Amino acid sequence: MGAHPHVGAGVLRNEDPQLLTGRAIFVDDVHLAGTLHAAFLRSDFAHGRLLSVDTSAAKRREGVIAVYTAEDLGDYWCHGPLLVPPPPIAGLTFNTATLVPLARDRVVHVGEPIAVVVAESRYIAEDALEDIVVDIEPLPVVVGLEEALAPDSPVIHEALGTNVAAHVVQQKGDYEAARGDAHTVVSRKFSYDRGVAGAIENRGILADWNARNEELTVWDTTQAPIPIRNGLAERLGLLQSQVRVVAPFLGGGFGPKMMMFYPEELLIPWISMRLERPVKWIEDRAESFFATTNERLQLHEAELAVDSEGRILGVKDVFLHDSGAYDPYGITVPINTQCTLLGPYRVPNYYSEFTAVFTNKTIVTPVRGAGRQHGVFVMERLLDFAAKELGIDRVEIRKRNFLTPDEFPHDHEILFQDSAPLVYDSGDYLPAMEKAAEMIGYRKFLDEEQPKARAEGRRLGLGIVSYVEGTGIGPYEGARVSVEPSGKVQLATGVGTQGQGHFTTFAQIVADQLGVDVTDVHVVTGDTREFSWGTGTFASRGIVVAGSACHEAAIVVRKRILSVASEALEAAEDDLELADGVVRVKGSDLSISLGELAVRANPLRGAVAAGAEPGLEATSYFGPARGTTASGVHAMIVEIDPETLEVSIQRYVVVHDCGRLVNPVIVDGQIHGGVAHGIGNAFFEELVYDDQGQLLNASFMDYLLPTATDVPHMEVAHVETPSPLNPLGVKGVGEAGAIPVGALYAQALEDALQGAVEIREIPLSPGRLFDLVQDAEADS
Amino acid sequence: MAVIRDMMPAFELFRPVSVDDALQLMARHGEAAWALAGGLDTFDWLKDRIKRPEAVIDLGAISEMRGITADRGGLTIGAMTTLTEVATSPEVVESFSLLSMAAFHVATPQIRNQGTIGGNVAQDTRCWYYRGGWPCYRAGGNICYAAAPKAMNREHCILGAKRCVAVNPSDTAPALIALDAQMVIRSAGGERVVAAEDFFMSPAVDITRMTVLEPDELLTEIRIPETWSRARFYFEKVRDRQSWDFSLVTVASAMRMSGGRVQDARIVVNGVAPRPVRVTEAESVLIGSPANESIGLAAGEAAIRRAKPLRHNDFKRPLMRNLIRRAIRGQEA
Ligand SMILES: Cc1cc2nc3c(=O)[nH]c(=O)nc-3n(C[C@H](O)[C@H](O)[C@H](O)COP(=O)(O)OP(=O)(O)OC[C@H]3O[C@@H](n4cnc5c(N)ncnc54)[C@H](O)[C@@H]3O)c2cc1C
Ligand code: SF4
Repeated sequence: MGAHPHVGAGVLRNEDPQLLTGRAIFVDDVHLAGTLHAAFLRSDFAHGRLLSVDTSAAKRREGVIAVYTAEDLGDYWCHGPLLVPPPPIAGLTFNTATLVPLARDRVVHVGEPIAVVVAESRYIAEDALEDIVVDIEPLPVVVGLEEALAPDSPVIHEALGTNVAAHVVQQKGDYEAARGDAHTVVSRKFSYDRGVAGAIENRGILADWNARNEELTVWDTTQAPIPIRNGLAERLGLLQSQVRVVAPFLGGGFGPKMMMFYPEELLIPWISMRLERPVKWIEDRAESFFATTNERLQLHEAELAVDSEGRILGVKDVFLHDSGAYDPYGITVPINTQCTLLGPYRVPNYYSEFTAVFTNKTIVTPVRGAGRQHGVFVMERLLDFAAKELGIDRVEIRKRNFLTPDEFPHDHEILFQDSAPLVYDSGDYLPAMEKAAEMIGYRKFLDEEQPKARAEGRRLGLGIVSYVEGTGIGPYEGARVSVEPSGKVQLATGVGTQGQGHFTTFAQIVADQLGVDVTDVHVVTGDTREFSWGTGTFASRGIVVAGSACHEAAIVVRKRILSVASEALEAAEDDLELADGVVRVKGSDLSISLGELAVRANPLRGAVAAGAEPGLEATSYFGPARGTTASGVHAMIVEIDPETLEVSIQRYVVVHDCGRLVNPVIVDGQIHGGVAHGIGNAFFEELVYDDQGQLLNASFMDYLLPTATDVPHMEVAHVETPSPLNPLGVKGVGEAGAIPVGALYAQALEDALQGAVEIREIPLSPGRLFDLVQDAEADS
Repeated sequence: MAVIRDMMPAFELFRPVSVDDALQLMARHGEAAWALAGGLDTFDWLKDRIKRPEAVIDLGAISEMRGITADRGGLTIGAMTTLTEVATSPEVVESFSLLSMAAFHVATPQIRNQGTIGGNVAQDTRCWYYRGGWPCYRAGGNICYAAAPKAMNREHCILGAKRCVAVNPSDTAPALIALDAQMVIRSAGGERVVAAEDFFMSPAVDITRMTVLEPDELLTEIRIPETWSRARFYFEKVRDRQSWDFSLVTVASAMRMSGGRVQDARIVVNGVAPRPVRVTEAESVLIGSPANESIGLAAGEAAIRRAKPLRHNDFKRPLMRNLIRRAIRGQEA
């Protein structure tokens, strides 16, 4: 066997037997005797003054144990934390408005919680919600982004006196000068909307205060169990050791499950402590549309200045971003847009300015992609329009502008979401583009297939776009590796997991160092009792940050194994090899199992050398200086029915580079899921708000997720440009698939419609395409 | 509206085994009764706590309401027959493939296994304001939210609206009208038979109802006459998503040809008006002419001449026109 038999292999997932047989435990599967059930009364108004809440009738209903409003919370009522303070950008304006556990005198979006009922059953709790009398005086509602900034607009947060959440300018070089030298400048307006994460499992919390042990256990659908534990301990006046937060299996996270703290996350544990009983709240789907964060609209006005060959001289982008009613995530989403727009290209001059705006809608926080798709859409579209204007092929214009391998590390001279400079670690974009073009049959399609189809009255179109994704940011994660007397390896980390395959990829990394089978590495994550330090799973960082910590801890344990084995086998460490769960003297049958070594390392009797630690165990932490840059090219061929404008995807090709592949099957799965999300975003999903801030399609009947019939088979290939920033050479992949799909659809549909329309917006639908075609016909 | 919607409020549940018993119960509870077929529409209303029946009468145990029988060249289909049974029944597939195609285009296999043809034609509109519990005309209030100047109404009517601009969502309804089906309706007081074309209610007649069914009546069976057996059929449903999605516009047509010309035709469109509509304008252009592209275009144009789109559904005009063209061209039938 080679040095790394597991890393790089598409081994089966350790977690699948549990998941596929229905034995995996999710929050709602945890049943404790005597559990009470909570239901929230939420605002029906997007904006209003909360005049009174009368809960007396609800409290009288049989089976109701308690009803709480903001008033009942006393000192526990306060504004939540600002999770991600903005990076130190010169001249930045940032206005903080963080959310509250229950609305007190103002409601600022539909679905904001006003009261919580706790009852013997969910039925009774819901019945009791109808007994509560709420008096809200409606206020004028802020819905549109441009309207929010108008001088006569109502203001959502009176203390701020403005609806501006943030105003940020970042620049590099001198765009105006570059524009002056340009051969061609293309400028356009774009609108890019997004939607919900659509996780299969909604949010849920079960809190159990054990008054005898004075211990609080909270099962929570969170992507970040450790920060939740730390925050709860602090808010509830407990030691961190008194609070255990468990995030068991989660039915998807995608970003919104790490919004610390959601009101429910603060309230359910507090209620359990007061009532000294377990309390459960499980979000339902309709509720989730209002109460779980999502991602939405940006409006861009952008320009691309190029020379006569299509080389980029500069980009200017000015945009508005919808923050929703509060901004606990700072400027994470729009700054991602700002940074990701640059893509794999050499952009010598860049001017980017955005204004994030408060509106009376659900809070916006990162959803898989986290604003990156908005930026990629703008850049890719501008390149398409420039190519057309200059008569350059769209693949060619991209190739001419790609950064080349000798330009790395490449400093874009602006700051990224993690406050570190936006520096690309490594990349090689040309081979990915060439491979994608070859796989989709670019030339053959354009020269033969498309003209032939057109002659038959069929409308086929091709799209091909590229992108980069900043992944794997800090601060740090940790891992503890220990070999047990059974010979099995326990690996604990604090990162939290929601379907990414951590039980397997982390195990692969450790298995390679310790010479054991992947199935013998038991990964524990998402339980603060097992590992106490870390942040969470977000920003495509699991494998990069936690994976590297696993690797480092495993190396330390390997050394200890060798040292104990060298004594036991009376052989030099250099003469030993680890494989199949044993340490063997090379070229002999002299060996000892890891289990026996574990016992030897933790003796019951005898003297231990001074300074030696017991056991075969080590804990390591890994904190990267900055993020890694993954990249990719997507290509697709679509067919549009000319009479119904229904779109079907004929082929879909992905060439992706996330550095070294730990498990290609899992990477492909991440890409498949991401593309499905992207397809939903590009063509099906849209949160429809009316002018009163009411969400009209808060159900999966009206909010359309793509189904199996809408997501095509994907042909996926990889380019591996290892990252120099971590020992494994890995980069993140969690969000990649979702990022370029809007830009890809737009280009492919335009191509299929033979340039009859110009697409500057996402999402699309057959109905919207009819509108665009009719508008274009009316114009010409 | 952001209410929590998960648990149904309490009601009394009955499970009669004969139509007669069911009708007695319907008569006894009147307006407070709710007939339960497959429950796919019903449970939404109950879980959303928007409709509050006191007595739910489950028709699931009434075997006389199920099954498909051949009947003098035509068919009789019990109202409780599932959509899967309708879609796959050899009799339907052989002689009235239009109906089988229509049933096959409803939602998903799971829903077709559970949903019944009676429930499918009796289901309520999908207007999202109304479904969201807004007190609109149809819900007994005095406003139509969907027709307001800034309303979001891409799925609503372009034809025949009267105060309410919601559309009928049923896929089987236009096929039944095209086949000239007869709806057998019973109450404790007796039986009446209504043509499918007259079964669906316009808001001009009663804005709170989708069909002519009175609160104490049941649809017991649907009779399909021999008239259109093995005619030239066309069915097409355009939707945003290719599975599990209601239609934007659906066309169902039946045509008889003679000597290269159209002898008789029924063309029905759903998704464009409060009830499925026979486009007689298109039929009259067509009858006596060859079924070719230019007649198709003329018929399509005639059909949408009176269309009045709302703010967000102008696309339904070209879509309806093109589907009628296709129905006449008949390529995919
Ligand atoms: C997710 C989803 C997607 C769907 N997509 C589609 C679609 O694409 N196309 C489509 O056409 N439909 C669609 N439907 C609707 C579905 O097909 C109908 O809701 C279903 O067929 C209703 O039938 P049911 O048997 O479940 O009736 P129920 O829901 O039980 O009843 C529906 C209504 O009809 C009344 N009713 C039922 N039977 C009788 C009877 N014999 N006499 C008098 N009144 C009666 C009930 O009182 C109730 O008001 C969808 C439904 C769902 C849940
Ligand atoms: S279209 Fe009909 S159902 Fe919808 S809001 Fe208007 S009146 Fe109500």
